[in-house]
Amino acid sequence: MDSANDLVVVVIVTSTLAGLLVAFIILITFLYQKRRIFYRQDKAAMQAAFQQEILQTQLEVQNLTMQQLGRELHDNIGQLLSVLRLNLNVLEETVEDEGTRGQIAESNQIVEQTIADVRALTKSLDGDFVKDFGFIDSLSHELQRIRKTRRYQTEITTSGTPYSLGYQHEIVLFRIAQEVINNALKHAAATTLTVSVMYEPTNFEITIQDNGKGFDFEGVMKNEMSKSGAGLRNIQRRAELIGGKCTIDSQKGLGTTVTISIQRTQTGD
Amino acid sequence: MKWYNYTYYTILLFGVVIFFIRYKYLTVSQRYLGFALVVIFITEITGRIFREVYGKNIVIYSLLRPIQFTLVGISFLKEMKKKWVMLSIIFYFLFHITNLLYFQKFGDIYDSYSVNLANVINTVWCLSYLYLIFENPVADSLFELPLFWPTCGYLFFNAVTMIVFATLGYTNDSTFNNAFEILHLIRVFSSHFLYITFFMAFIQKNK
Repeated sequence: MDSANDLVVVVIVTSTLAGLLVAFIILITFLYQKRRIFYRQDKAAMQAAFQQEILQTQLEVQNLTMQQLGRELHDNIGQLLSVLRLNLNVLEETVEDEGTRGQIAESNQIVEQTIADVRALTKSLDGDFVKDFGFIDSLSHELQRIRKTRRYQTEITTSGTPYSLGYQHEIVLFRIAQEVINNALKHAAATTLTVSVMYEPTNFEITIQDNGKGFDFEGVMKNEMSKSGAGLRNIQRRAELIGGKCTIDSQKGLGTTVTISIQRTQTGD
Repeated sequence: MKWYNYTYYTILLFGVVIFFIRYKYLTVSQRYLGFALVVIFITEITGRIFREVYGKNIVIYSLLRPIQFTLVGISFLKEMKKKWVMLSIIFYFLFHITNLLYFQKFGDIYDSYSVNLANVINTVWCLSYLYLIFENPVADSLFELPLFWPTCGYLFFNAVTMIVFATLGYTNDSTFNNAFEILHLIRVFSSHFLYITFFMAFIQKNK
C-alpha cells in the first residue's frame, strides 16, 4: 500500500472501529437503562406487595386481639358485674335503712350503666359485629356509644342505597373510622363528630369530620419520625390496602376532615 | 516502526501513568487491571526490543501473556466473586503449558491456540460481568461501575480479534500478505481502543 492509500485505510478502519465501539456502548447503556426501569418497577411492586402483606397481617392481629379483648370483657368482667348487680339487688332488699338502701340503689344503677357500657364496648371491639349487622349499623353503634358519654355530639348521615362492600373491606373501613374517631377525641379534643356515608353506584365515600383543634397536616406528614405522622400514614396505607384513597384535610383551629373513597369495582362486592 | 505503533505505545504509557496517579482512588479490581496494563506495557516494549534486536519476540508474548491474563482475571474475580473465574485461570495456565510443550512449541510457533482460548475465556468473563450487572441493575449509571469500560473494550477487541484470526485462517498464500496488512491494522486499532477503555476506567468516578 502507498502512503495515501495507507492513510485512507487507517481513517476508514479507525472510524469504523470507533463507531462500532461507541454504538456498542450506547446499545449496552440503553438496554441497561431499560432493564433498570423494569427492575425498579418490579422492586417497587414487590415492596408494595410486602407492605400490603404486613398491613394485612397487622389488621388480622389487631382484629383478633380486639375480638379476644371483647370476649374477655363480655365473659369475665360482664359476668362479674352481673353477679355484683345481683348481690346489690339482694342487699337492697335486705337492708332496712332508707339512706343505705338509696345508696345501694344508686350503686346498682351505676353497675347497670357499666354493664351496658361494657356490652357496647364489646360490640365495638368485635369484628363479627360488622359482619352480622353491617357497616352502617356498626358505625352508628360506635357513635351512639360515644354520644352516651354525654361529652360529645355525634351525627351520622347516609345517602344513596346502601350496599355491602364485602366483610374484608367493611372491617378495615370500620377500624379506620374507629381510629379516626379515637384520634379526634383523644388528640384533637373535638366535641362534635359528623360522619357522612355516601353510597354511589360506582363509588363509596365516607367522610369523618370533627370540630377539634386541627393540625398542620403537611408539617406532620413531612416529619418521618413523627408518631402522629406514622398514625396518619397507617390510616392511608390501610385505605390503600382495600383499594381506597384517603384524603386528610386539616388546619390548626379548623378541625379535621378525613375522607375515604373506594371505587366500587375495587370492593369485595 | 510504523506511526501507529508510536500512538499505541503512547496510549499504553499514558494509561500506566494515569493508573499510578489515580491509584489510591481506584477499586481493588481496577488496581489489578492497572497492574495488567503495566505488564502489557512491559510486554509490548520488551517485545519491540526483541523484535528489533533478535527479529523474533514470540517468547516474550508466550511468557508474559499468561501474567496479563491472570491479572485481568483477578480483576474480574474481585468484581464478580465467582469461583469459576479462578478455575478458568488455572485451566488456561494448564492449557497454555501443555500447548507450549506439545503443540505450538515454545519459541517456535506463535501460540494462537492459547491466545484464542484466552480470548474466549476473557469474553466469557465480560459477558458474565454484564449479565450480573443486568441481573442486579442498582447502579445509576453503567459508567460508575469499575469494570464497565474495560468490559466493553475487551468484548469489542475480542470480537475483532476472532474475526481477524478467522479471516486470516481462510486466506490463501497469494492473498495473505494484503489481507494481513489490513487485518493487522484493524487489530492494532482495536487494541488502541481497548487501552483507551482502560484509561477511561482509571479516570472515571467510582460509586
